[in-house]
Amino acid sequence: MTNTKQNSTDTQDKIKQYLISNSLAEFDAGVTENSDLFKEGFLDSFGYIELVKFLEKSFGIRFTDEELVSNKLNTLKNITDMVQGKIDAR
Amino acid sequence: MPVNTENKLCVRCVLPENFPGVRFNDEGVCIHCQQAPSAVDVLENVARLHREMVTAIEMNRGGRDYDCIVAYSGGKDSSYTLKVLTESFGLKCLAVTVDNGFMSEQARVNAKAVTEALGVDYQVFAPAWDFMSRMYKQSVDNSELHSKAAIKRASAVCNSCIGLVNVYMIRLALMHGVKLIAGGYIGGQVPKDTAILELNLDFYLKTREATMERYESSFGEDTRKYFDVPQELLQSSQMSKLTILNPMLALNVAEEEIIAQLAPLGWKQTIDTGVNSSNCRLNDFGIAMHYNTHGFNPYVFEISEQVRHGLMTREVALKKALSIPSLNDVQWQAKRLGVEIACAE
Repeated sequence: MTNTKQNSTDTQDKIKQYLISNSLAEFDAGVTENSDLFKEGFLDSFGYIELVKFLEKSFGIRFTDEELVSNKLNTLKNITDMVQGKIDAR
Repeated sequence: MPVNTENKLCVRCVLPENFPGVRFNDEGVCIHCQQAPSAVDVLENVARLHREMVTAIEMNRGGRDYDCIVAYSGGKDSSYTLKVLTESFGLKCLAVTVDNGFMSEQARVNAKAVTEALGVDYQVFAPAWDFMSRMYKQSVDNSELHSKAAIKRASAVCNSCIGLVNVYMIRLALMHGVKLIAGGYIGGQVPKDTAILELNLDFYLKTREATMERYESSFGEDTRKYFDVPQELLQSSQMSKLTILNPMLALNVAEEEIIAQLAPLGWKQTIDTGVNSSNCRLNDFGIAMHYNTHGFNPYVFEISEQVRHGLMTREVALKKALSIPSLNDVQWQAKRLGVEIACAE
């Protein structure tokens, strides 16, 4: 867990690297920051649970139940925005 | 049949270089082993998970009919899970087997013997063969069915089957007013460190919507009967959350110890399920097809995780990981499913 505040680019890079390594997201092959990671087949319930654990541990944040079912953690951009919002609010 | 792999393997575990997302350092150690906790940290983590599991059980036991629904295959890990929950935690369990049409006869005998010895209610659910065979065939034929990363954790046929089993357990829990569901999953088969998982059902169902659409278009009629949790059931149960237990992650017990502890209950090793299963005769078909398509054993990640946790020697792991049935070996399963496979002469 990091206590150092980081900017949105760093946050996005870290999440993107996780999605490439763990969810096998192919950002170099047509997947964009606005692609729906569920519909594109990179996230399922298993992968989502692991992603949420990674985000909470890596950025020292917590998601509420409402946030988890909000469909707002579905694209790289949306995930980054929500994580960065929580970092900035600390 | 042991295979000669030309792929470099991690020198600590047995992950091959063609495993998705893996990287090696100059010493030949994979990224997962590089980031793995020390042996002391592993034990501390297991002890912490055990404490959390005890708390979760105490908070959620006391269902209407049972304390816990146990997804019970008759294999060694779920048998051990059932034994621990019943004997050590005193839970009133309902053991449930989903008979997929390929269950080993010895596994049936084992399931009956273990549940009788433990005094546990036991139920078998056998989904219609017409649907199961279609599901398995489509799992092989449709490479876009599961998420991309699913190839890291199981074969295509296993991924479909596990999904069906999980949903059936959720349905039963809601029907019986039970807050706990347990399975015999080990490290590498479930999200990391999820010995206890509080599952918000809305969250679970939403994250499955895209998968459900692919399943429905591929498996056709009755897909939702087997893979969905009806809103009426959710509403009538008045339950919004379930607690999923994977006790094996909080116990860290080696395979030999599990088998030794199950013997007095009448559990015996199967001889017709290959080296990576102790209940299912379709498993080797899944492994052969996975290896043929992706070039690695679908069990290699969980086998490697067992090595990292000190539960399996690298020597045993190598034997398991490199023991790949040939397509010739799995012809009878292919024939039964109507899958055409190209075999060597």
